[in-house]
Amino acid sequence: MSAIKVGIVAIIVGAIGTVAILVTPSWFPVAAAVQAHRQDDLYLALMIMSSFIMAVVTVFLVYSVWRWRARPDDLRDGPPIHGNTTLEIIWTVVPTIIVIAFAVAGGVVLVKNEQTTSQELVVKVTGEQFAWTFQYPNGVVTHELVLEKGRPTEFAITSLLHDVIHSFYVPQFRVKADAVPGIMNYTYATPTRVGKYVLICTELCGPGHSLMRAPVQVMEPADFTQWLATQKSDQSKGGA
Amino acid sequence: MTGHGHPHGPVRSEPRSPWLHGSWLRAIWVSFLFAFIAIGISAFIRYLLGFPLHGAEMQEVAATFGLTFWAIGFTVGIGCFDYWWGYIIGSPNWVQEDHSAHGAYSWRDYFKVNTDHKVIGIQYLVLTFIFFMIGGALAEGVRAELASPGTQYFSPGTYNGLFSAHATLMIFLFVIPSFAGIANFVVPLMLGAQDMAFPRLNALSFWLLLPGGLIFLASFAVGPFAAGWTNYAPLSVHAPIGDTFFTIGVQFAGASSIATAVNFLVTIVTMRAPGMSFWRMPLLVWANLATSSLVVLGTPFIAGSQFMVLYDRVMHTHFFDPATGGNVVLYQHIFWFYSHPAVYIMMLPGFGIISEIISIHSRKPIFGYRLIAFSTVAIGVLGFTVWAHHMFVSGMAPWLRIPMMATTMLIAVPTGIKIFSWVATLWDGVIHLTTAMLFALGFIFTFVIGGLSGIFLAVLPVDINVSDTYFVVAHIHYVLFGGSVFTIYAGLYHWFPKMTGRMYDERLGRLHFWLTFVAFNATFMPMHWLGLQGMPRRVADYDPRFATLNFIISIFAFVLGASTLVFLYNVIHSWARGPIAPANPWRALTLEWQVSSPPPIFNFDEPPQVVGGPYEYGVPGARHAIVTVHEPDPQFAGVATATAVAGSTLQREALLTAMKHILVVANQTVAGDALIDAVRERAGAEPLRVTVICPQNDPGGDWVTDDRQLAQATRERLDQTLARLREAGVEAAGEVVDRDPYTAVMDQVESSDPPAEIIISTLPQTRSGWLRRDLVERVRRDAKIPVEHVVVDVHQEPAAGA
Ligand code: HEM
Ligand SMILES: [Cu+2]
Ligand SMILES: [Cu+2]
Repeated sequence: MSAIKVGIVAIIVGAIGTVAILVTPSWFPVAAAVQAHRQDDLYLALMIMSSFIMAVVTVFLVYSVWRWRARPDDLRDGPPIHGNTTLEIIWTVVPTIIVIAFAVAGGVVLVKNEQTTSQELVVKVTGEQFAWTFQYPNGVVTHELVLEKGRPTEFAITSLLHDVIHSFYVPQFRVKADAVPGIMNYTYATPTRVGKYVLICTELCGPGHSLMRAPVQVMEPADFTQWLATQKSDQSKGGA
Repeated sequence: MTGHGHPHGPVRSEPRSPWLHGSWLRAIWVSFLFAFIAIGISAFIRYLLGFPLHGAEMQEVAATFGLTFWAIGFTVGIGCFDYWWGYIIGSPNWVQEDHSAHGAYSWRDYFKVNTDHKVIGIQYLVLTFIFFMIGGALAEGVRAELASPGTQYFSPGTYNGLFSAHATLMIFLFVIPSFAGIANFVVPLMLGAQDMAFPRLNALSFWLLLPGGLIFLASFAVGPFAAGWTNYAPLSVHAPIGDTFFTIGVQFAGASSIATAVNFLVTIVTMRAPGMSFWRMPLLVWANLATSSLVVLGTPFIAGSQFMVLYDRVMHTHFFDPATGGNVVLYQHIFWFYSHPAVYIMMLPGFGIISEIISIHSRKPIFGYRLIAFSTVAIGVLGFTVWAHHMFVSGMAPWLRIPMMATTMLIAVPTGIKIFSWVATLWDGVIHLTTAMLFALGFIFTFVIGGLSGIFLAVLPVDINVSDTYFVVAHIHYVLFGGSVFTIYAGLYHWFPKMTGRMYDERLGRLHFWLTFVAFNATFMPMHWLGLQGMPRRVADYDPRFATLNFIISIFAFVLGASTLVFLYNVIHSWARGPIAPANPWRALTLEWQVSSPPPIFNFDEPPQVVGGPYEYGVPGARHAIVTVHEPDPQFAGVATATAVAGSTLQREALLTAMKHILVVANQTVAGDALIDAVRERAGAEPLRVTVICPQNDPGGDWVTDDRQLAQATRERLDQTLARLREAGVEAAGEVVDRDPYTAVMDQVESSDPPAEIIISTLPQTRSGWLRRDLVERVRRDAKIPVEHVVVDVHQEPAAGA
């Protein structure tokens, strides 16, 4: 078989892989933010690209071994081919184009994911060993992260000054940012799905790291407003 | 025989007590003495300054100084500094060209300071493999805990210690130094050099590693370091005393790598054989050139980062304390400025190994030699521009993220070039599926997966999602196990015959490969999915919905661990009993295969002349280099040619050096039966060549003879002996030398063709002038190789007339 035919087989295998990737029901937990959908699309594109690269390498590898495997007593040498400039240019240039394309796509998605607007909700998130605290613009402080569906939210994340690094991660939002003592770090999510999720700490922070979690809830705007108001009055009562 | 008469005898007259001379015994007492003195001085200073001599502060100070000086004391005690110290104090025993610690004559020599790159290479490989197994055992502990959710065997603190020590040992005491071990053995041979540029520094590099590793392990005695191998501040700054052990252990492992890298750089740049231009260097040499540059430029940064953590802990310097103006993210910048290049330090040598193996075992020139070499250098250079891709979520300057993404993605290009070139090399080859080749092919498969997941991680929004999840754990194992460890295995199988002189068992090798390959993929492939689903890394406990998958992973992890035992059995068994390896079992062209297996003590008698590229397979008549081996005597050349009937010139040369060389010293007793029997007996055990010398003069004694008749008689006795030895199938050559016996022997020992053993034959005690002058004792003391004394009573033996 000529190299071209093997190449065609490889592309077919890559295409089959692509179909498998696309029909796989869920690569991720349910997507609950605008950012999550964008991440998932990028991920699928990367998977498809990888499927073809994997197919090309594996098919050529397996074919060569199958076709040219020699017995131990076979003392021949192969043909003295030292290289092929055209091929070498192709496999330098094509991957360069692929990675540049993904770098551009990644950059565009990042910029979109982090766009700020004037109506956004700003929640201050503070990590400490081993708990999370959330502070809302109206002064409400909670240990449960409650968010409003459809409202762009900026998380201003930090850690107590004498504490260690933690990391804020909600898998359903696909965003993450470290909570660093002395630094304000930001990440953004626009929730799109009402439901209950879990915030997990993803930076090793000591013996309690694996259990450092906090409940997350996304509510309809009306419910959210009401929740915020109740919290406000509860807390001012408690404080008084 | 060389005719010059430089004063002999490093004249080491004092008895060599193991308490006082480089030895394990001295290493133990000197290391603890150093540690106690260091702790004592620091305690005294604290006392003078009015600080308490107990409590956490004092413990930190004691650990810092105690561990540091313990490790230094160890290298002093074992004998790394003896030569330099002798020079510094002008010791009368000091010898400029001291080869006394060069080469191994018995297994015991592997436990001593040795300056032979081949011995050091094997020392590295054995030691690092031990650490690999300890690190592997720790990983099995991690997998046991993770086999089901909740807490089973280890408290969360201990669990954090397990994976921290696991990663630390694997990176600093296995992958990085075992590549140094392979390169130590192979690179000087490939270059046509007799050794590394700085053999004593080389020995020191090796001996720094052991105390470094022991310090890491010792931390378990006080509560292990548990902030990960990354040791991020401020967690590490606030951590208990175990973390101090980490910061100090890293310094010794790091110093070891830097010293080795400097050694490689100088060796590769200055010690290439004539004709070995850069474009004729084997790709493994290119890889080590690039790696060594990375080590020299990068390792000081991790040393610095750990010193800063240590200072914050012990001296309260506040580098990383934001409350007093420190900066937490600074730590990560310094750390990753080394630790990203470190991932290439752990991969480039593997790439080099794979290039060698793919080309040799598929009998084709490597496809695109120059582009591969360029891509190696490109990876090395780009490697310094991507460190912050480990910090995309860290809170560093946000603008830095996109440039770092771009450079990271670009590194995938040279990496891809290598992969495609290897695959193209296989095309239309004559592919021999040896175990080394299986590992190389398995490596290509797993490494493509690791490289592709690397691209996922470089794409910012994807990294922001999966960073610090099991996806990263999957990635690092695909690149470090499926990548580095597979290449180490491939290299060990490929060079096993060269290193040990024995062949390994291919069937066991294949079993090892398939067990490892299947168990590896079954263990780590599912981890990608766990990460995508949101399982964070470095957790002792996890969401119960991941329980089934984690259980399966743990089972395969145990299989993976067990597969190592197959390798171990194969190596130990083959090393002891395997079939004798030919000089060049793979019919390779590179220089290490043109000398015997294992190579002779100084590798090459003359610098080889390099005449072509290293991978000219299939090119009719092509040669990489011409190797000349000195033949001690023209008489001997004839015999040797006869021995290697079918061999090429190269193989004949190799054969000569492969035979054990014995020096026989005798004069009046030269034709004695007892002597000839002693030689014959040895010849029965292994191929032998013998040089017989008959020293005629003894200027130190009371007579000097130029009696021609006497010399003639000796000559006759000698010829008679040589004839009898050849009859017995021993390659023998010899001559009458005009010197005193001691000088004559030492001339031989220090010649370019030194013997491996000496037999001194004398008359019985009462009648022997040599024995009266303690010849045997003096030679035993100074030659440092086995010396046997045979007594021949000529008057009782009918054959020995004259
Ligand atoms: C195509 C080549 C590669 C690319 C694009 C790449 C990319 C990355 C990225 C972006 C990360 C950061 C993930 C995160 O923490 O969020 C990462 C982690 C890592 N990579 Fe790679 N990588 C590549 C090859 C390698 C190789 C060859 C090795 C080692 C031999 C390696 C070892 C590691 C290690 C040890 C980590 C985890 C470090 C830690 O946080 O403990 N990578 N890689
Ligand atoms: Cu944590
Ligand atoms: Cu990196």
